[in-house]
Amino acid sequence: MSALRGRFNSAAGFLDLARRAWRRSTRFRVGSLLVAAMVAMAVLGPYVAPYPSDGWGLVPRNAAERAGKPPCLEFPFGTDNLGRDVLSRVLVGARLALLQIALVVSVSLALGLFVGVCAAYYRGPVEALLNYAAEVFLALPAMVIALALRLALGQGFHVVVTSLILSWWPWYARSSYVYARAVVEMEYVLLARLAGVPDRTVLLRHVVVNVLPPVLVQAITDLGSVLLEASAINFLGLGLPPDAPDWGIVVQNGFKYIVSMPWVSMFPGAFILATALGFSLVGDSLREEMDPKMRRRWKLWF
Amino acid sequence: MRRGVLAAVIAAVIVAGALSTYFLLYLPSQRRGKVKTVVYAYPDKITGIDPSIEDDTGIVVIGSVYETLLRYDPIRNVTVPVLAESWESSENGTVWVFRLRRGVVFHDGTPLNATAVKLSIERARDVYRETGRGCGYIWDAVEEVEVVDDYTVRVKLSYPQRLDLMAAASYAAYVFSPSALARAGAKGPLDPKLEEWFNSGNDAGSGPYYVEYYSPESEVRLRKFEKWWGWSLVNNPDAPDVVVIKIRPDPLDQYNGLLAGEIDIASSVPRANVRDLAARGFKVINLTTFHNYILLLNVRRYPTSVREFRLALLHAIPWDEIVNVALKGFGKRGSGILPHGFPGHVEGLRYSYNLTLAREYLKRSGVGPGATVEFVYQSDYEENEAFAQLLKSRLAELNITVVLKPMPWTAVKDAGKEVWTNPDAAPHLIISDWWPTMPSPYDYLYSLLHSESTEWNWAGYNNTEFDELVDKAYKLEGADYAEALRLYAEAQRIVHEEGVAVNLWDEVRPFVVGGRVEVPENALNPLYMFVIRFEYVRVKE
Amino acid sequence: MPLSLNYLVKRLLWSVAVLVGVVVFSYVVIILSPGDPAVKWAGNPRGPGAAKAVEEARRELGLDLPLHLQVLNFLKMVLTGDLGYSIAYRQPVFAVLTRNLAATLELLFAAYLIGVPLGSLLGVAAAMRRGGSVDGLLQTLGLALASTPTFWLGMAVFAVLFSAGFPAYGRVSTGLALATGFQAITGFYLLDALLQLNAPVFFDALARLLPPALAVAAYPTGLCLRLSRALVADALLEEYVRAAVAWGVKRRVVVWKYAFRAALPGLVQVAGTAFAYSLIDAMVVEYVFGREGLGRLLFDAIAFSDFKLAVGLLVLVAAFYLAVNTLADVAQALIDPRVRL
Repeated sequence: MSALRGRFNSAAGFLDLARRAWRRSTRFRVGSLLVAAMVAMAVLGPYVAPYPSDGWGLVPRNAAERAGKPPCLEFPFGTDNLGRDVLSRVLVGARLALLQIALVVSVSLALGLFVGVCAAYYRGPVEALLNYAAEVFLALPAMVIALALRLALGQGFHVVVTSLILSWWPWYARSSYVYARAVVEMEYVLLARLAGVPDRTVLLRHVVVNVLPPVLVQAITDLGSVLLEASAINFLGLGLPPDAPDWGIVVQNGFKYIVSMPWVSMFPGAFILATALGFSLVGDSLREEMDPKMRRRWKLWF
Repeated sequence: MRRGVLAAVIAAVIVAGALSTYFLLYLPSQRRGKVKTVVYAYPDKITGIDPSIEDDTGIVVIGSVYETLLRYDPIRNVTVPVLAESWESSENGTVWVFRLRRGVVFHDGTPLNATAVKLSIERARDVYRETGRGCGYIWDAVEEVEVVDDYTVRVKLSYPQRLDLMAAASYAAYVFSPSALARAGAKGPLDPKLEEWFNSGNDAGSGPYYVEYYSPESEVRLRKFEKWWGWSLVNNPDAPDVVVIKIRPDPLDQYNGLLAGEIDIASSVPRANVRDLAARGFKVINLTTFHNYILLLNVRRYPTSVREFRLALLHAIPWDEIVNVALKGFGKRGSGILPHGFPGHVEGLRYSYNLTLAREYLKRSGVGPGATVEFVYQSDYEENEAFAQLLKSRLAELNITVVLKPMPWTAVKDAGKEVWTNPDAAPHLIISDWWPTMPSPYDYLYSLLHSESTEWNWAGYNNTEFDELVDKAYKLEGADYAEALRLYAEAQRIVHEEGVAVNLWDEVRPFVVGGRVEVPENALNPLYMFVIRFEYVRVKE
Repeated sequence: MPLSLNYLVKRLLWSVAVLVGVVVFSYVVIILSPGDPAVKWAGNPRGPGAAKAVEEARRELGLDLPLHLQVLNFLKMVLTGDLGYSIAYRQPVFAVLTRNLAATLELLFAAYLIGVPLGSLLGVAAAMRRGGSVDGLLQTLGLALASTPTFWLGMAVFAVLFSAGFPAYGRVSTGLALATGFQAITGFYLLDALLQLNAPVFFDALARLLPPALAVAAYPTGLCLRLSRALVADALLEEYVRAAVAWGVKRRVVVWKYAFRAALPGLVQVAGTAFAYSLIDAMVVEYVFGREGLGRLLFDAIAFSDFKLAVGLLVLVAAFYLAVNTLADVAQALIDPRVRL
C-alpha cells in the first residue's frame, strides 16, 4: 500500500498537504483563488450587490425603462428583460450554488462511504446487494432522475438536491469500497477483529480513517462537476422555480433573448465555468500532491 | 512509407472531388420542382384532428381541412355563409333550417349532402353525451336533425338558441364525409375506430387543403385541394400548393427559423424580438385575439376566501406595467371577463392600481400581515412568467408572499380542478387562458364561473344569482339578443364586485411573416385561433 | 482471443439485472406523480359519461392493479421490448424513442469524432513537453473544457454564429428537404442524404450538425486531452520506450508507435464511458439548437405528464449506458493483450 504514503489522517495533515500544493503548483494557487472568490461571494453577495432586491429576483419599480440594458457603468453586466441587474443576480446567486453543491457532495459522500465500507467489511450478500444498488444508480444520470422527481414532486430545491445525491453516492460507494477492500485485508485489521474489537470501532478507527482522505480529495473536484450538473438541471427547469436566485436559472431567463441580450446568459454562465474550474484545479493538484501515481477516477466532467 | 501516404491522399482527394461534383451539379437540378410552399410555425403539438371530438390545438389543421356550415364575422358580429348558403329560424328560435351549397365535394370525391351534416352534428353531440369529450355541448339543445332533401336540413331544438352561432363554432361544428365510416371500417359514428382513423392522419373534409402527412408532434403537411368549391371565389392563383405546419414550441426557435428562411409565418416569437424582426424587413401582423388571460381567485381557501383580501390583491396588481413590461406592448388590458370586440364585452369593469386602497382593504379583511398565496400558471408562456414575477414583486410591497408554481398545461388543469374536491390543495391564484368555442358570452361565463362547470371553474365560485343570470341569458339569446347581452353584463358586474375573476389582458398576437409570403388581413379570424386561411395567402417565388 | 464467451454471458445477465432495478425505480417514482394519467389517456372527458371513460382508460393502462403487479407487468413488457403507449404521442413509446434516438446519436457521434482525436492529439503534444509551460497551459485548457457548462457553451456558439449571419437551426431545411424529395430512412440525416445521393441536404444537414457538435465535443476533448497526456507521459517513462530511444528510433515513431499505442486501450475504455454520459449533454444541446431528438422528449414528458414516456426515457438512458460500457470494456480487451475478460 504505497499509495498510503503522503496521505493525511487529520485536519492538520490536510492543511499541510494544501500548503505543499500551494508552494509547488500554480494551478493550485489559481484554483484556490477562484474557489475563495466564490465562497466570498456566497457569504457577502447580498451585502455587496448594487441592487439586492433585483438579486433576489424581484422586478424593480422602474422596470419599463430599465429592461434589456446592455452592460454599462450603472449595470456592469447589463439588465434582463424585466429590468433586473444581472450583476446583482449573479452575486446573490452564489449562495444558492454553494449550498446546493455542498449539500449534495457531503450527503452523497457520507452515504457512499457508509455503503462502500460496509460492503467491503461485511462481504457476502450485503456486499452483493450494496454493489447492485450502486450499479443501478450509476446507470442513471442525475438529469433523468431529476425528470422522474420533477414529475413526482414538482419543482423545487429538493428535486435538484435529491436527484444529484441519488446519482452521486454510488461513485463514493465504489471508490470507498475499493480502498476499504485493501484496508480490510491488511493484517492489523484482521488482528483487531480476531482480538474481539467491536465492528464499529474497527470500522471507524481503522477503515474509515484510511479510506476517507483520497475520497475527500476526490470530493473537492466533484464540487465543480456537481455545480455543472445542478446548473443544467435548473437551466432545463427540472429543479428550482424560475425566479430562484440561481445561476442556471438566470441563464435560462436569458435563453429566449440570447441574440438580443446575450449578456443575461453569458455572465452567470461564465461564473459557473470559473467556479467549476476552480474546484477542478484545486482537487486535481491536491490529488497529484497526495499521490502522483494514483490513477484518477475518470468520470463525467471529472 | 512516405510514398504510400502521398498516394492515399491523392486518391482521397480524387474520390472526394468526384463525389462532390456529382452531388453538386448533377442531382439538385433534377429534383427541384416548382411547388409553392408555406411553412407555418405553430407552438403546440397537435392533440388530434377528429373533426367532431378535437377541442384543442388540432384546430390549426382542422380549420383548413374542414368547413363549418357558417362562419363568424367578429367585426360585424354576424354569421356568414360557408357550406350553408342560407338559413332561417322559426319565430321562437327552436327550429332552424339550413340550405346547403351545391357542388361541394369532400376530399375523397363524395358530394356534400344533408346526410353528412346530420351525421356530423349528431356525432359531435353524442360523443359529448356518451363520454363527455370534445365540444359537442354546443349542440346540446339539438333534439332532432331532419334531412328534408339532399340540400336541406331542419334542426329541432329543445330550447331556443342562436343555432347559427353554434354552426359557426370553432370546434365540433365541422362537417365530414359519411364515407369516412366505411374507410375507417367503423360500425357506427361512435365507434372508436373512426376516431383512431382520423387521428392517424386521415381526413374527410371539404376544405381548401387536405392532410398529406401527419406527424402530430413535429409536422403536418397539407396539400391544395384543387376541386374546392371556393377557389373561383377567392381568385388567388398564388395560393400555396403545400402548407407545412411545423411544431415549434420554443419562441426562440421560431425567431431563428424566420431569420434562417426556414419559416414563412411564425405565430410565436419572443415578444422582445418583434421590433428587431420588423427592422429586418419582416411583416408583423398584430392580431387582437379573443385569447385572453383570466385570473381566478380561489374563494374556497383562506385567505382568498375573504372578499376584502381578494379586492386588496386586485388593487395591488400593477395594471399599467402588465402591458408595458410583461407583454412588451403585445396585449390590451382587460375589462370584465370577456375580451374586447367579443359579444357581451363590458367596458369599465377594471380595478385601479392603488396601494392605499389595497392596504385599506387588507386591513378590513382581517388577514394578518405576512400572508402567503400560491399562484399557478402555465410555464411555457413567456408573458405568464413575466406577469407572475411582476405580481410577486409588487405584492411583496404589501407584505404578501407569492409562491410561484409554474406548471405545464395539463398540470395547471389538474391543480385548478382541485378547488372542488380539495380546496386547500388548490392554488389561491390561477391563470386560465381561454379562447372561445362559440361566439357567445356563455362560452366564457358558464365555463369559467358557473357552479356546474367543475372542470373549468377554478375559482370554486358558487353563486346562484350569477348562475341563474347566465343561464337565463343563454336561453334568451335566440329570442331577445339585446336583453341577453344586458344580463351577461349584469353577471360580470357581480363577479367584478366580488373580486372573483378578472380578465388580465387580451392577447395581441404578432404573426411575423417572411418576405416570400403575403398574408392578407382576412386570412386571420380571432374566433378561429391560430387558423390561417391559406387560400388567401399569396406566395411569391 | 482474450475475450471469453463466459464473460460476455455473465456481463449480459448482469446488465439485465441492473436494468430491472432501473425499471422498478423509475416506475415506482413516476407513478407517484400527481395528476391522473387515466384522465389524460381518456382525453380529459367532461360531462355525464366522463367517469366511465376514465375507468375504462384506467383498466386499459393497467392502473387499476396493485402497485407490485403493475411493476411486474411493466417489467415483463420491458423485457420483451414493449414500453407501453405514450400519452403525449399516442404511439408506442418504443417507436417514439427509437425515432428520436437516431437524431441524438448522430450529434453524439459527430461530437466524439471531433473531440476524441483532437483531445488525444493535444494530450500527446502536452506529454511530449511535460513539465513545461505549454504542458501546464494545455492541462488547464483540458480542465476548462471539461468544466464548461455545455448548455451555456451551446448558447455561446449559437449566438456567435448567429451574429455572423449563420443561424444553425434545426436538423435540415424543410424547404430543401421537400424540394429534393428527401426521405428520412435511418434517422441519421447525413447517412440518409448519402444513401439518396442528395448533396444539398447532405451539406445542409452537416452545416447544422457541426455547431452543436462542437459544443458537445468540449467535454470529450478536455477528457481525452488530460487522459492521453497522463497515459502517454507514463508510457514514455517505461523501460522499453527508453530502450527504443537509446537505439536511435525516431522520436515521432517512439511516441506514436509505442507510447500512444500503450495508452490506447485506456483511452478507448474511458472515452466509451464518457460517451454514455454525454448522451445527456447532447440532449441539452439539442434543446438549445432547436433540434429534434431525445432532448425534446424530456420536455414532452413533463408537459404532458406522460409517465410512460418518462419511464421509457429513463430505461433507454440506462440501457444505453450499460450497452456502451460493455462495448467499451470489450473493445479495450480486444486491443489490449494485457486485459483478459
